[in-house]
Amino acid sequence: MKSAVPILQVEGLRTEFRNKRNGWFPVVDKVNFHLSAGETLAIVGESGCGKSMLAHSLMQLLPSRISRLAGGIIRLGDHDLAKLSDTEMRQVRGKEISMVFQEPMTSLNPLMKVGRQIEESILEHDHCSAKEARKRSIELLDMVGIPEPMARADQYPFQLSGGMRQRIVIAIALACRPKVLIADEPTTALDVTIQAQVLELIDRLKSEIDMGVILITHDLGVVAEWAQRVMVMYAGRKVEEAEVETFFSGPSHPYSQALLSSVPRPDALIGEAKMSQLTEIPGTVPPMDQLGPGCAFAHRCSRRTEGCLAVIPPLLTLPSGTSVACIHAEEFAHDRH
Amino acid sequence: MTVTEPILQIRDLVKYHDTKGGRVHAVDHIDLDLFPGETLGLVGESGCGKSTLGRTIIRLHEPTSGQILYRGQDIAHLSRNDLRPVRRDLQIVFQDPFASLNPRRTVRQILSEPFSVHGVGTKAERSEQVNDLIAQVGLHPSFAERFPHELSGGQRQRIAIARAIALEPSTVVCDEPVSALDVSVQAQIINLLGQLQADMGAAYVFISHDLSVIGYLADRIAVMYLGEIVEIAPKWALWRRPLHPYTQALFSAIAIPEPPSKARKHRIIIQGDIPSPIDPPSGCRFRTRCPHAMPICSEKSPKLTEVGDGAKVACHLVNDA
Repeated sequence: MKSAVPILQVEGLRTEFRNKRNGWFPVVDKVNFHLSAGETLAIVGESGCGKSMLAHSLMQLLPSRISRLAGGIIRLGDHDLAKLSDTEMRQVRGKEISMVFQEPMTSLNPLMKVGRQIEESILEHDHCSAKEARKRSIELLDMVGIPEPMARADQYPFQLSGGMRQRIVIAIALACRPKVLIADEPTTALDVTIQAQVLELIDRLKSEIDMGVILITHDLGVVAEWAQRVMVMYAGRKVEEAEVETFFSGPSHPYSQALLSSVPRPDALIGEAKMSQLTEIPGTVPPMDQLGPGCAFAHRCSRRTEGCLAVIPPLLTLPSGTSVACIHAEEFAHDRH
Repeated sequence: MTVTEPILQIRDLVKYHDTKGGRVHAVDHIDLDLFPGETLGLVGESGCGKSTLGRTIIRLHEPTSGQILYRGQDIAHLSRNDLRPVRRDLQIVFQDPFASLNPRRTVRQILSEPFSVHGVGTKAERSEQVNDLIAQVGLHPSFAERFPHELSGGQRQRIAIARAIALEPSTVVCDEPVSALDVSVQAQIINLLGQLQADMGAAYVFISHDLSVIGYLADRIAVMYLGEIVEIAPKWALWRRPLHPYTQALFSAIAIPEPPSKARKHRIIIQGDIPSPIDPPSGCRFRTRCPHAMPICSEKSPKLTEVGDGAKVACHLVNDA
């Protein structure tokens, strides 16, 4: 896993949106990362930090006219997705890179039997017979753990539970054994016990298909349990990237630290002691068309100095291998030891 | 553990919803005590009846049968008029603060309402009371003249909380109050609720599907499954030794943000979906997903039984052992 060749390489990605005054402003900016086969990379951050926009940029599913991919390279196999035309992208999307969305009901066609929806995805990319597609769709249903796949294939989405529907969405996404699966909050709408089932399923299929998974989530517990690397985004930029073990032993960016200590820990207090207060992050993510010249997190940061407001901090690589965009990161890393 | 009298005693409470598809067994013969100043966490998956229970005990729903003793008085079937003096003591905060605040009213109007409805204070005093409330939930005085749409999700939830605590209730039902919020804002609201409780001494019934939040906040936790309480215990007892197989699965499904090297290794993933509350399984309702199901589980439904440490469990595995 360590020396694996990346299957997806993203460099200098920049996505822009248009505001009312017809100006373009970035919602994703200068994002670099890579993903290897068999690896799960988690992307975390609050709402509005650009994580879903990043995913939609990779899939080329940005709303036209109000947004555009303004720069960067998205290398997947032999393609640079950023340079593909709409027609070319259709060949790749769903075949080599797939996405699972948060709310399974809205990504399924309510009027079509679920088996047909899987077949559709197979027939779109592989020119096989309808019979063959049918056979494969039932195999897929079986693979994602749907009991009685033959019978279920002939049901409509409304006849299935939320967890089953998400399994169907996963089956569609994996129909052509993609190299990369993007899962955007795949379990947020599901119950706890069903969440665990779905995450375990994604993890198992990741090894079976040998694909890379990008897991977008706001749940740091899920990251710790299911990802190998984590990337923290803030105001459209990567502010930290680290191995999961290093990250949860002590993140390096003040934003990551604040995020982690704002999570209630059920195991933190057992007994009679007084409950410690959760860390609050004052304020909210700034609107991305109103960013100042310095670090976007500075106005919420407890360690802000003059220097933070002057320039956007570059990404530094710490001895631990973590990369972090904070001018104070090295002193803090030093303080901790 | 305590010798104080419970403020709420729920006895054999039943609430069925009749729908086109049949009768939903949302709350099915539940017994529960709530003590002054405690936080009782109510946890379970969607459709387990936790919200219905929370709403029924403060009489937002008419119970089908059973007793709700509020300080000894049965309020389960009181008329609207007779209920009014009790209402001010039993309040609720909902999940979606956008839906629970009237969009056409300013914060001041929203927060004045509890006082005017219950005839507390004069008109002149009210303005002062509203200002105090706004300060209490940590907002700037200028918020009084704003409308809900001008507030962020976290700020709206603060207003909803201010409204609930306006008349210093003895009991506040918090129905997923932080589920719609970002983690950083969630932390603010959780801290605020903790602080208000320390100041006012109200008891909370805290409903959530998020065990991390419940585990952090609650003193005692009741686990619900398909309309029934399957286990209720002090948090520490539940965390250290969950007895019901469903509780065990729920707790092992909590993902804790810690380095993988320190993580608990055993994870119980229960299979299958939650059965329909319209037609719950016979006997123990969890038996269709239970890894330890035995023949008796389909024949006899287990009773919630005392097992020591203030814990009660409804499971044949534990109760008959």
